[in-house]
Amino acid sequence: MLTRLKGGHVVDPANGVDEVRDLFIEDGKIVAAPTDAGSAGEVVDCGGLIVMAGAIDIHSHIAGGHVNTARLLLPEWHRAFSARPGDTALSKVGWTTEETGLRYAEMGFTTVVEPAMGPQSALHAHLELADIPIIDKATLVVLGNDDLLLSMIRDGESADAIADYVAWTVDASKALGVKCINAGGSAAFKENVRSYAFDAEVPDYGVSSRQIVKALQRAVKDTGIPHPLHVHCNNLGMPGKSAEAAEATIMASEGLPLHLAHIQFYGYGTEGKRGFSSKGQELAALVNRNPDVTVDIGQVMFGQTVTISSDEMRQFAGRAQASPGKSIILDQEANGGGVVPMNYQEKSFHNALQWAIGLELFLLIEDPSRVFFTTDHPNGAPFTTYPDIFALLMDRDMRQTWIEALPKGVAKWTSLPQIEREYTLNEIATMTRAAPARLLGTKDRGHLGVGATADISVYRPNEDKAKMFAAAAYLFKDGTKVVENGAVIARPYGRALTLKTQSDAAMGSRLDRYFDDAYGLDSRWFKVDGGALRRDMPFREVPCL
Amino acid sequence: MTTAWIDGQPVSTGEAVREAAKLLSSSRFPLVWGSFDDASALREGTRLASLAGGVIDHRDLPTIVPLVEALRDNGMIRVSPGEARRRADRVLVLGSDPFESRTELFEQIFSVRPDLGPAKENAREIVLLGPASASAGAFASAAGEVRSIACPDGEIGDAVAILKAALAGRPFHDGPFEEGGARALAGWLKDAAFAVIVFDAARLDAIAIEVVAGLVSDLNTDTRASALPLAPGGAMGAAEAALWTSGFPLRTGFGRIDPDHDLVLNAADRLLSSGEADARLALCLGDARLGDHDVPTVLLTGGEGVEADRARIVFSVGQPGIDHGTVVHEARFGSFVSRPAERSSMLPNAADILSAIADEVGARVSSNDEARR
Ligand SMILES: [Zn+2]
Repeated sequence: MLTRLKGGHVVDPANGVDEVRDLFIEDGKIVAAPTDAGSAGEVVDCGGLIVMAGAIDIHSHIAGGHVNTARLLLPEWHRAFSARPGDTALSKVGWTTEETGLRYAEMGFTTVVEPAMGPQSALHAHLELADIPIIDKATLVVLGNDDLLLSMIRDGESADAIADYVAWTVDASKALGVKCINAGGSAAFKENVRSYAFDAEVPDYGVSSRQIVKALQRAVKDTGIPHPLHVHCNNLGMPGKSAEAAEATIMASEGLPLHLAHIQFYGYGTEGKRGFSSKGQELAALVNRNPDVTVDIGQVMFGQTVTISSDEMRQFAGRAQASPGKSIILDQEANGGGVVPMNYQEKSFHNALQWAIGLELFLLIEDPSRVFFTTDHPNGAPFTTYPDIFALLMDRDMRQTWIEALPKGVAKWTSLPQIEREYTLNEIATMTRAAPARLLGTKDRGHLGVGATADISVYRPNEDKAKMFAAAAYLFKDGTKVVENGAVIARPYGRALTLKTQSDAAMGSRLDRYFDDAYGLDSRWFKVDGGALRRDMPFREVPCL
Repeated sequence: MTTAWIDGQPVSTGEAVREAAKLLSSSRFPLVWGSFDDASALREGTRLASLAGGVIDHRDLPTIVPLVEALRDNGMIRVSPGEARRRADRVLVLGSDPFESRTELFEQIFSVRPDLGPAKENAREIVLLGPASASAGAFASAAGEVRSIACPDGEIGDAVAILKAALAGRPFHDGPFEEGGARALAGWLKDAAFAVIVFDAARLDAIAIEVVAGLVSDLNTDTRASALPLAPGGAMGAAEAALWTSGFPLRTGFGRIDPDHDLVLNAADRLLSSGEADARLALCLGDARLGDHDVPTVLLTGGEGVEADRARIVFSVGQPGIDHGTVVHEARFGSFVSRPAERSSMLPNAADILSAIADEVGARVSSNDEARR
């Protein structure tokens, strides 16, 4: 059946469209306008509404072992989780896979990437993703602290061999890309190293973080994985050292694309009597000067949350600030990780400055196609805070109101009060639709051109931008209307986006032996079998470059 | 081949599914209970319990309750078996042999010497702190040096608390240790390249597990150490899958608006004895049995005809991993693995039956809602 979205203001920067026009969908795709517009079987009146592609979140911890551990650690947190408690009965259900899908859909999101899937947690992650309704999902598989990669680099194995290993891992784990988290840091922590920088060596291997990042960056390119290596830098959160780590990593991109995750957590200097200051301006300038680099923010918002990370060294150090005071840290093959509850407080100088640094970066990085909209859910804040963040980016007066509520000393330590920029709808659409699709290599989405997957979000304009983005007027997923007036009306299951990478068969046999010899593990356990997920079509393949 | 019965009479699967859905949706507070080792069955079972407004519980949950409580209330620094195999130069084993029915896990960790980190220079040292000679035999085949310190199972928590005090330089009494022994053992842990403390989580209570976690936490102030609690994969996998489907690690009720996690109030036995559960669906595989309670029952049974006369509606189902594929928590891997069927079989998959009943209950619930409107 042909559906006509009639008379909406279409904001589709990927196709240079920003005007009132009709949109037609059929069989889950966007189609060209028919000669007779009246032939549509269904007409959705979008008069006065804003029409965009479905939003894409490139970095949100929504599934897998560590996320589930957070649920275990914090049963009391589930009810505190929702930014809008009491809206619906379902908003009180708790932080379940089902709720994840519903809450994202209500805000107009149709694709979300779980960015930290350990190779061992791949089946677990995909089982959870299979239970998240409506949205499409994807994962990045984590490498960079694994014994095999570090050994290969130490032993001087060829770039081809490393690419084969990366390709095997991406294929086995059904990932869309590769992430590297404090490269070498977790391996070093297991040897009781407590602080680790870009050029430090992992004991026992004699391999530096730089070597690991560069080897993976190259392997990702050689394998034809569209999404550039996704890097979580060293020394996250440490005043001074974090900014140095981000700077060193950006400088190491050396002409090849590189994505830096949650850069806000690296924007920290050491000035002032508290030894904590903003490096937001410097870091933004550095990103502006380095076109190979993309970043997402990891915006902090105030309130109770929990940090979930495969940066075991960082999570171990963060234990001391756990609130409530309990945490789970995991020593595991490769990265391990940890879950540490966190309560960001508006009245805390430190937390308030973190909030301001995130916004500085959002607003000072000039190109909205190189800065991505994330809270590093739930590390900076739960994703249910997104509507407020859209409002903060689009409304300087609102920022001013928030700044005035902060502790007195904060305003003079940040350039935020002086920044006049307000994001336009077109820039929001670039940041949350066009650019993420390009970054992930998912050409079928992020835009509203003919042939695109009919993932379409429709918003009712409102002076209160938070209200506007909290509740989509309509959401279409694969052409099916799933949200109306901010409420879910249908919950089909989306799919996980995967890549089909090619690796040499010899690498398969080598890994069969390796996992058995080194860890007493069966290499088949690392391979995700779609049949185990109990969905008709669990995956949708994205082509390699 | 008949695989479904109502009141002892063979029926089609569809008929039995409709009857089961009718029974569960007309019940006030149905219990969904049983051998939910297969994560697929647990996912569908949770959906059924939530649609029917009941409770879901796993038959072996008591074996993981202390660990769940300790993790939830206190947290822990813990290690995977694979990493313990490669790094642990000093291993403290608590209580009666935790590897008694875990031969493969024992092999994985102890058949080789550590080969990563500073520990690779050392032979592995293993101390068994438990009932005299209870586990020495099994550890004779471990690649390392083994010695024992006698301590009754009931005093393990106290012994670990003594080690914790000794490490902190606080006063302590000797407990099961000979004079100077506690300080020596605490120092031995502290001087490890990577110390691992392993125990059967079903044999310690939550407080003892929290003391172990506390000792490990203290050790990590200066050195590396990690806990390795061993728990049955079936119940652990079910708790994990319940966490993402319901937000809680089982014994979760869906009777009210919010799911309600309560390890005591939602225990199957209590709900049946008190009469709060007025109907149940039981998934009985292996040696699982219905127990003495008399309540209208839907039985999914893996054993031919076992207790079939005690249920109104009976489905014969296959064995996960044998008659059909399964997804289980594998202790050696520390995560889920999938296993294909071992043979072709006509027996239905319990997960499919649960899913069909859940769909039917869901349809009844929404048509009731519609009628009310
Ligand atoms: Zn993250």
